[in-house]
Amino acid sequence: MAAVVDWFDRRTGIRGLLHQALDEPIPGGARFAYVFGSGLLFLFLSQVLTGVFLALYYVPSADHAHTTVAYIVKEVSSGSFIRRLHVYGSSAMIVVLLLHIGQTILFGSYKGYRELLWLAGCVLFALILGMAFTGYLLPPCSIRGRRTLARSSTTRRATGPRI
Amino acid sequence: MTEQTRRSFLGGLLAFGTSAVGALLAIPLARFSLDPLWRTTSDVLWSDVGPAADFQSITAPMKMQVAIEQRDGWRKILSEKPVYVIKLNGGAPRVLSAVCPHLGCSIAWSDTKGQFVCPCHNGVFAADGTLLSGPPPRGMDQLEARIEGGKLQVRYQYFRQLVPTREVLA
Repeated sequence: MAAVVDWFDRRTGIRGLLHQALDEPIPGGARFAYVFGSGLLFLFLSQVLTGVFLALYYVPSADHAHTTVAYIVKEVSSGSFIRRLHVYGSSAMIVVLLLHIGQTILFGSYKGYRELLWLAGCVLFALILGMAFTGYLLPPCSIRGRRTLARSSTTRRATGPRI
Repeated sequence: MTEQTRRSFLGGLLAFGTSAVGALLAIPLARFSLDPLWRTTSDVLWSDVGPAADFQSITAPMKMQVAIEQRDGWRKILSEKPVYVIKLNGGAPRVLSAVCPHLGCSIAWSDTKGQFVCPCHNGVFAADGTLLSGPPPRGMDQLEARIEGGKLQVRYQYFRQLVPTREVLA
């Protein structure tokens, strides 16, 4: 086992990378409050993976989107499991995202020389909300269509009347 | 590996747990992506040709359109195919495919000649579908037919062209 890791390490430097990622000294010690960032990363990777696999069957057109999603859930083996993983994963991302921001604000972890980190977080926040919203529309059915309509009119009210 | 500390034990536990969960989650992904491999195309379904009584007293082959349904993955394809219903003295009605076994043109029934004639290369078939002359390698293909609930039904299939024996394609 060690010989295999050595062989791999000599060609990739994997030990150094793992050491940097896993053995990072945390001032004040490790706490459960610090897990949300890694949790988000894990959820994001899960979303990418399940999303790529779902895209094997999904057809993004008004005619076939509902049919193909129904086919994934009802016919393809493990299809409903992978789709549920993706659906609940997207909700979990929003929850963990809010916990992550809450932790950052409450612990004041944005202070010091971390302005750019905070701004990068803002961009990621917008991207995640955008992906959650657009992903929600992919399997169209009448209820979702109405909800989307309601959402866009809420957005319009919030941003003032259209000119 | 010489010294077993609590830290290295927990690290090993973490590595083991992570790989175990990863391996378990890989199973549904593999099943999901390999699904089309062990999915067979659906059986050929029976399609209605028409009420059996309509074909009781026919003297010449009768051209009918049958609606066939094929399923390919999530897609359902509906199409209409022409067939000929023939009745040989007193027997049950038989159904012939209108696809020429030569190169797949649509065979037409000629009332004046009392024969089937393929317009593309002049294949000529008798009223019961046997080959009379022309380039086709065999007679017209007979389709599986039955009478169910007073209706004539047929299983529409395609056959390999340019071979002397009748081979089912799909």
